[in-house]
Amino acid sequence: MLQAIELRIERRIEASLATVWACITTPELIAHWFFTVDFKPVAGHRFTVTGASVPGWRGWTNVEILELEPPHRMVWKFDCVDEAPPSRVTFDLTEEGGGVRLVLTHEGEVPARTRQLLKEGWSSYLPRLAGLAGLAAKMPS
Amino acid sequence: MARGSAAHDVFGAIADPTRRRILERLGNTERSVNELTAGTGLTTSAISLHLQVLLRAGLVSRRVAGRHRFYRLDPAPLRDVADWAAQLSAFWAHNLDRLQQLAEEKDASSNRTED
Repeated sequence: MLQAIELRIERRIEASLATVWACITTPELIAHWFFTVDFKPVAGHRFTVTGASVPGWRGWTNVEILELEPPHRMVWKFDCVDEAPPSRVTFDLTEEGGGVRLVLTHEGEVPARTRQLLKEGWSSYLPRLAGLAGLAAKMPS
Repeated sequence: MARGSAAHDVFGAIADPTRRRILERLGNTERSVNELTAGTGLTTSAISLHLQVLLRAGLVSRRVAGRHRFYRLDPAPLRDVADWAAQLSAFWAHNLDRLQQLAEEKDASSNRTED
């Protein structure tokens, strides 16, 4: 399977592994940083994230917990766009010098036409095209 | 969903290298089909078909003067494409900021309680 998109964000959190794990697997705590969801820390459990739709998001995402390895790893199946198969979101927690290193990856396929663009390095065209008309395009770093 | 499908058309429109070349060539200048065809090795009718796609995606606008048609770049829809790619990254960065704050505050307060 072609993985056209792979987003990776790393964070160093000054808290214990147990605390960070609790924050990502306890419904009341998840509501503080993510959304209010019907979360249960059980592989196979499904929940829906709903919110106000914005350009690029239809306003709801179906999530299924694919893997759960307390207190280190959780993988979600993340179905957020109509045009593409569900993507995968992985939370990896590692204890590191009294704190926690969190690595979040979001990988999967993007809509077929978009995938083609990514493959062709379309993003390099955008600043140039936008620049021609004096438009400041917001590009991901 | 109207907006979603419009964004989809933009993706399709700029997926094609010939159409991207047309957009780059337009720049800030209004050009005729003949001007846009020159040097491409393609026929004017092939270029016209590409221009139709760009027109439908809202990436170019057209002015008709007699038998001639002039095209101009309209870059607004490109913003949708760039935004789409940036959104996912911004979404997680924002949520992880809050997760980090929550976890650090929780441990800081429980440490104070223990002290």
